[in-house]
Amino acid sequence: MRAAADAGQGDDALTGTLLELRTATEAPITLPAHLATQEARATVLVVEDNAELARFIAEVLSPDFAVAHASDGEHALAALVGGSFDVVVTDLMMPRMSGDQLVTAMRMDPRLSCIPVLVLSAKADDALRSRLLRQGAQDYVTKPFSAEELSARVRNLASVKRTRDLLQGELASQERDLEQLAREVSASRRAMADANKAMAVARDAALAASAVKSRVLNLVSHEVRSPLMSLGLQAAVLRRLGVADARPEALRAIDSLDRGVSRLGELFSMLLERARIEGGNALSEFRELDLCVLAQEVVEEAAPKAGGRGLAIHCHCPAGPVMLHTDPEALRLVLANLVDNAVKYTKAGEVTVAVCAERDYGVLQVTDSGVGIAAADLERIFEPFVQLESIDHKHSPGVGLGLAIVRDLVSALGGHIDVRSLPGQGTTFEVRLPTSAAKLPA
Amino acid sequence: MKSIMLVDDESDLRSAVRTLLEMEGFAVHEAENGRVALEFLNQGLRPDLLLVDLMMPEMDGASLCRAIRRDPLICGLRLLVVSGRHDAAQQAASCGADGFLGKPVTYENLLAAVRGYIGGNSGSLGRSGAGTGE
Repeated sequence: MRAAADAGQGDDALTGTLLELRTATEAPITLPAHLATQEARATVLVVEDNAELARFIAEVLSPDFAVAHASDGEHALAALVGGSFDVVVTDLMMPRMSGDQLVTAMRMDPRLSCIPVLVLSAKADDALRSRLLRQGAQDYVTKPFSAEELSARVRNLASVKRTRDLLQGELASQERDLEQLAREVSASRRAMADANKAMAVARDAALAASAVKSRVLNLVSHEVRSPLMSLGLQAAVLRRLGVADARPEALRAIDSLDRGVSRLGELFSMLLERARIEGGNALSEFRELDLCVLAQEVVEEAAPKAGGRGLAIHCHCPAGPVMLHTDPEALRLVLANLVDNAVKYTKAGEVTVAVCAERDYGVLQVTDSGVGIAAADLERIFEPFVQLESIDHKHSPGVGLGLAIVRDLVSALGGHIDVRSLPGQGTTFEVRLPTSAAKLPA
Repeated sequence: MKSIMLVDDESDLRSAVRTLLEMEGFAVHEAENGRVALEFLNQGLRPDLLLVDLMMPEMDGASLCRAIRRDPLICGLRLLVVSGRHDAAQQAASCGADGFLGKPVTYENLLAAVRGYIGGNSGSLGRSGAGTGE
């Protein structure tokens, strides 16, 4: 073989298809623009110190490949690192760095380890060939070789390389997708943690607000109810002290004082109850309760007031008990409010409380023979602060909280309230309550 | 003569209750808070019944009731909580009171409750409901 200097750069025959590599003293090689941009064509680096052979190979390959030339292993290595080649075709015996040294160097460099190498070997190189194949050369041709054989083998290697690049690109992009996904997951985890923190803060604030509200309720409750009680008792004192020389005007004044105190007390109880329900503290303890017993008690309590207005009040119950698992205090408030309303808005006739059992429900009906409620008004009566009498012609005391409280309590007890009315004939409120309430108090 | 101690920080309320109960023939003592009531008891006063408000300065009603129940000398006293708190029933039960009345209490109901606890007359406690505070 001849020296590297033989691969002179002024060799016109190679121009255009063969890139002449500069000698060792000169700068590293760059690919001509048409090679860099011709991505479709595979690029082959021919490493051969024999210029004639190199030219022959370039001619064979140039129809299918972009071909570059290096005159020994060292130049080849520099070219490979600087460029992008699909296949290396290398001679074995070369000055400075031989073909087998080149293969070893390439396989140790991660940037070059994937480029297939085809070795041009002599017949006598059997042992070396085998070693090179083990060390990472992909294929070989034995000199003398035919143009077709060389071309076919290089094409195979190039195709393997391209396929492998494609797969690796695909893999890398999937890795990028995974990385992106991981980033998104961790970002959303962070967002979720932030949201959790915000939620905890909001919950603490709500709990604190609820505690404050509860304290204020108790304080207001105490502060208003004590003087109310005091007023009522002072009226009682006056009444008893005045018995001896009772002047009618004085007694009327005391009656009026009593009524005022009683109305204020009821109103205040309503407002507090409403606030309590809105604060989510409507229910206390669930117990077994006989609806019949409750109905009878409430009717007994209302009897004096109904009698005072000339109304009859009845309670109709089935023979056996109607048992419910419910909050007795809340349910008593519901029924007492409904009965009180019925008595308040009925001028003549009667008020009836009826109890019955219906499969999984206990049913309470409160019926009056009062003025009734127009269909258009039926929807509004459960809203807080709605009264059907206009304020200027108001005859009945109250602020219109009773039914709002009733509805909220019934709903808190897991039940349902309905109203039917015929104007001029009367009204029926029906409360249906589950016999075993699934909803337990908080 | 049966005696009753009123423990309430509202002086108008105390004076009205006192007048009415004295008319009914009870001896009445007043204390404006739990600490004062406890001092009377430590001095040897033994009322037949204490009417105890819950919210009071210095020593509230629940603390007074607990202190009484802890002291072997006075733990047998009858305690009736009279309060406008919405949780008066639970408070009364948890501090060991014998029952509670929810303010505002009418004169009739108050008298019925008092007689129910210490008088011969154990008649109806009425709508305001002196309960056992269970």
